[in-house]
Amino acid sequence: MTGNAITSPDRPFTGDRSAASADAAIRSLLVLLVFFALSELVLLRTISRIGIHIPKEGLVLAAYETLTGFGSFAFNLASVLAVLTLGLVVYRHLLSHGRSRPAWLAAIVLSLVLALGVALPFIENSGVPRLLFSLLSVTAMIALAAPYCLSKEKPGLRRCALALVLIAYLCAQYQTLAQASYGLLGLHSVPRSTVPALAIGEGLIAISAITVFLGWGRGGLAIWHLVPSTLVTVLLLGAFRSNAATVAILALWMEGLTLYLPLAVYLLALWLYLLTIIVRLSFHRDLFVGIGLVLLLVAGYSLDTTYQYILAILALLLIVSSHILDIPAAENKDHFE
Amino acid sequence: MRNRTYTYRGWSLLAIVTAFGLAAGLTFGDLRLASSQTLILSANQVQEGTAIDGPDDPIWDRTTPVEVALSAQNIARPMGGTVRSVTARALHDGQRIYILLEWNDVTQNLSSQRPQDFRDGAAVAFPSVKGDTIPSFCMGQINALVNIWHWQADIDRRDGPATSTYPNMVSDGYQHQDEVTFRNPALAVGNILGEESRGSPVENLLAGGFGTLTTADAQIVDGAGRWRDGRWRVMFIRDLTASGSDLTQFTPGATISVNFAVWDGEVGERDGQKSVSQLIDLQLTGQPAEAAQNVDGRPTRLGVIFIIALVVLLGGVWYAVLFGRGRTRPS
Repeated sequence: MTGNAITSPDRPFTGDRSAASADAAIRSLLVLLVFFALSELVLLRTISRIGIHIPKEGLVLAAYETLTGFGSFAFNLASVLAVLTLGLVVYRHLLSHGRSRPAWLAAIVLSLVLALGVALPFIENSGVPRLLFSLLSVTAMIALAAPYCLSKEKPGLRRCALALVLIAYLCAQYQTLAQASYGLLGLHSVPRSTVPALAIGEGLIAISAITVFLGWGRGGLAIWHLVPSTLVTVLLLGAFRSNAATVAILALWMEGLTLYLPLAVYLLALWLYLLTIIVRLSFHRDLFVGIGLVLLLVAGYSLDTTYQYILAILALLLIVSSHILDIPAAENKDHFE
Repeated sequence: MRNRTYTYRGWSLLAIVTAFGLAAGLTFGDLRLASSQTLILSANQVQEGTAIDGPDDPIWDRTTPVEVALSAQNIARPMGGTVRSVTARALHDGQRIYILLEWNDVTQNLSSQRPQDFRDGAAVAFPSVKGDTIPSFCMGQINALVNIWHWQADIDRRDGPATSTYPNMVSDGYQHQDEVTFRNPALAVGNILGEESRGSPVENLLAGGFGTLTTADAQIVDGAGRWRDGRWRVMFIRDLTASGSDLTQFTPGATISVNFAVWDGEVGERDGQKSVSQLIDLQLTGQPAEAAQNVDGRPTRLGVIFIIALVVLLGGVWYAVLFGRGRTRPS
């Protein structure tokens, strides 16, 4: 079966009003989520942290406060949209595959993730609930990505790219889970190889970006696609040349990357990854993949908040949507004109 | 047909309005629909009055450490290469909090007397005002100060007089040399860097947005550092509560964001050129530190339950993967 789950003309329409309503809502929410997630990444997680370098007077101060204030609202809205969207996607998934046991199992795990993700901010967030949330989230990631990676029907490069992303996340989560486990087990030593695992995962992130391009970015590549990604990459290079220490700190706090590899590796990975996003978003056939790649970028590597976990899970779900999620074709004129 | 379209648009609009409404409510209520999932540094409690004799006290071996990654060194070649990290431990006795940092540093850099010399250092940073439930984004914000404890190796080791570095230096006597204004202008204006013998190697600082790093009026943080076999161990001590609204207040049972910074003088790190860690959570627990000992090596009951739950969860995933591979999509 080819094409995107949303626009593939050969995907049968289920004729279900509930499904169609959910699909319409999901599409709208995803568009908003991409916009506000990127907004909070730039305005809150980045700009709010470089305030120490900005002149403290007049128009600059007013602009800074306005932008960071909007970034704070964008964070709240993005976190709400992420929860709503993932919930709707789980609901849509059950409508399509309600008779399948793996489908129910996946839905249960995702529902638990959502429930904990919503509850944790309002209850005492001690070690056990936090560990449980991380464990469920990792389980969900494996359950979503593993079938895609093991399916021989999917293109090899795409399977490889997703496998690298999954393994990178497992490397990062090893530190979180191991550290929490040691605390619960009452052990007084540091878990072995947590930092090397982080380093390996960070290297895999760079490789996966290249593989993502090879898997999704080559088809339909046009010259104009190069412009935005090149501009952003050049901007990063300029910032690094200007103040490498601050850029490294921002990269760690924004994305969880320490930048221990040569800068050229990160620049190439970023350039190819952004290029892939732009190519996919410019084609309606793979809109979900493009959105998923954006959300992966916003979620980052270290997943410091429940919001970032939910973003990462939603991103993986969108990327593998043709395997799990069945969304009717938008061209069905009976229901979408 | 048009009714169906309006229905679908209606559901979309409802979802969007709901999202905006919830977000507005969260913003006005100063709440977040996100919770921190970072590492937790647990500061268990020791008996009040327990003497902790520096960074080598055996009690530190009975705490649960947390190893946190640092941003890469990007000043001197070869830049990066390996991921740096710092290991943190914490304790409190109901009156004071103790934080221990350890990190690898091949060289011990104690002097900053020559322009080309830079000292090793370490810092612990907290938000002055308790942040919300997510890792604090307050660094650099105009309305949220950061309280920084900055340990400096040269102050700790009482860096010797300038003549120890420049043995041939000579200074003539001059008029008013007994007056501090002329002998030590820095000290005269209250700059602690001008103090000839500081009581503590840890400087208590406040940082607001826009380059306002300031020495706090109250220098109430003590500390000590020890370098051995390519590894620094530095201990910070402060009372849980401190006078001054801008200083961080610690409350047993509460959780606060913290992060760490390390300077390697050998590669020229100083001021803003440093390696900084991720933001993690420091939790002051009421659990006795002595009871946390796992001296017999057996897991706790909670640990056993956790392991069983882990096995069940992973088994479910394996089950789903096995059945998922065998499924084919309907045509």
